[in-house]
Amino acid sequence: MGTHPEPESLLPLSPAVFHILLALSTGERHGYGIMQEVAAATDGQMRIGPGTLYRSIKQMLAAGMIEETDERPDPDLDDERRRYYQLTGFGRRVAQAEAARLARLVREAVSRRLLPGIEGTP
Amino acid sequence: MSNAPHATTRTVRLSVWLYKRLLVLYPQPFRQQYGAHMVQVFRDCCREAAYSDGAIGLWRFWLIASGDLVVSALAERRREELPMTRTTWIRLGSLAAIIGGITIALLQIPNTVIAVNMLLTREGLIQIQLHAGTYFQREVWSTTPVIWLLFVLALPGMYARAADRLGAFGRICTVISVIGAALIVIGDTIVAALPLTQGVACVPPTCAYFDFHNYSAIGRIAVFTGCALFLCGMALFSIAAMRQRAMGHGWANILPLVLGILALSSTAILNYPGNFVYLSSPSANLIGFPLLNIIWFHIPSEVPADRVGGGIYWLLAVPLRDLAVMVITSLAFSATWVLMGIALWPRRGDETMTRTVTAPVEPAC
Repeated sequence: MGTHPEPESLLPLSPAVFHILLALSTGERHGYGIMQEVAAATDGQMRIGPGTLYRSIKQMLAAGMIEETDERPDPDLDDERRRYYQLTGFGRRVAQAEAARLARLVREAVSRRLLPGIEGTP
Repeated sequence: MSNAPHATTRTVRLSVWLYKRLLVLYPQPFRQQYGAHMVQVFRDCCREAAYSDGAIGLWRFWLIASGDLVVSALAERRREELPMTRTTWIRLGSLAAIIGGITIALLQIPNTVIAVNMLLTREGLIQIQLHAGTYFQREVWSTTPVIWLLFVLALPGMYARAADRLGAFGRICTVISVIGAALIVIGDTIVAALPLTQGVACVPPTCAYFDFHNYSAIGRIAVFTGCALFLCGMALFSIAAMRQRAMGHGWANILPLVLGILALSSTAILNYPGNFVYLSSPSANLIGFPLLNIIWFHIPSEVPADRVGGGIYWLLAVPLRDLAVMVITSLAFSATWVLMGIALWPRRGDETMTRTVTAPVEPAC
């Protein structure tokens, strides 16, 4: 197994990459499944096209954030030509680092009263 | 049962067929690795869109998918193909400069023959000029933007040669020069397109075509602006290169400045009213401004009627001016680009340098 850089060195992630990491954080999925999960998680506001999806997947595979898996959740119902992807340990750490970075930003926005309906701490 | 599901299936199949063809926009390795999966995902999405929202849903998805396809294909191509090594840029720039320079010289062969013949055989050969001008005018015209495109390609090579010493400043100068050269290409294309698309015969020193909307003026302004920018960028590049001795050979450092001056002065000539140089060479890649000033104001553009057939001064002076304007300066411009190409040509040791001149590939994500 190769050595990975510090997760922070890859930040900030592109929105597509972070959404894919989020989609895979709950289990392995194929390409179309990732797109559906992203659309559902964002109420349809974020839609990733096939090109962006597979470009991101290619980069994430190269960076060791995700990996292909041979297992099929339900082989009887699935097309075996589909490739499934799952998060690696490194990918999970990158996702956590990005989430923490975004959380800090959100806290900052709240403290500056930029989020309506959420009280900021003085 | 309604035909709608059948029609939907057919539309989805047609969409998938079209999407498969469009995948050619991606680099081949990427296509081979992920093409089939992308098509599969595309098919799934099409089905979902078509069955949930019908034709409108399908159109909406096509809008998203086509935008995604163009943007991601361009990005992938840039990532896989454009990050060329420094040596590749230098070699490409060198070849472009040499080919462009030699092409200018070749285009001047007819003019050279005509001018020399005129010098040798007096008025009879004016007829040759008329005929030759008719045939060659359009070729020269249509070639000029292409030549300038080659020069646009040569400029990154020039920067690549000097990148180690000029850094960001050299990059800015190169960008200014590239913008200028691109404007020249656009302007020359506009100017050349008018007579080329109208099929009206050009007979030197006039070339008749319709220009109701004054497009040629727009083209000339573009060329003029482009030349000014080109000179600015090249002059600054040259000054910095001379200070840093960035181009290797000492003489090579001044070449960008010479090219800039030649380009701008030629445009000034180009805008002389009734100037036949403009007719022969829209971008007017040639001519030293002082030389033309000396010659132009002392010799009219046509042999005075009372001097035709007599007076060696006029018979020699007019062709001599033609020779000076159309040939010598063209060849000077041509030779400078060839010299630039020679100066750029990769040398031993370049291969070992690992620095690239393109923007670094973005971090993994």
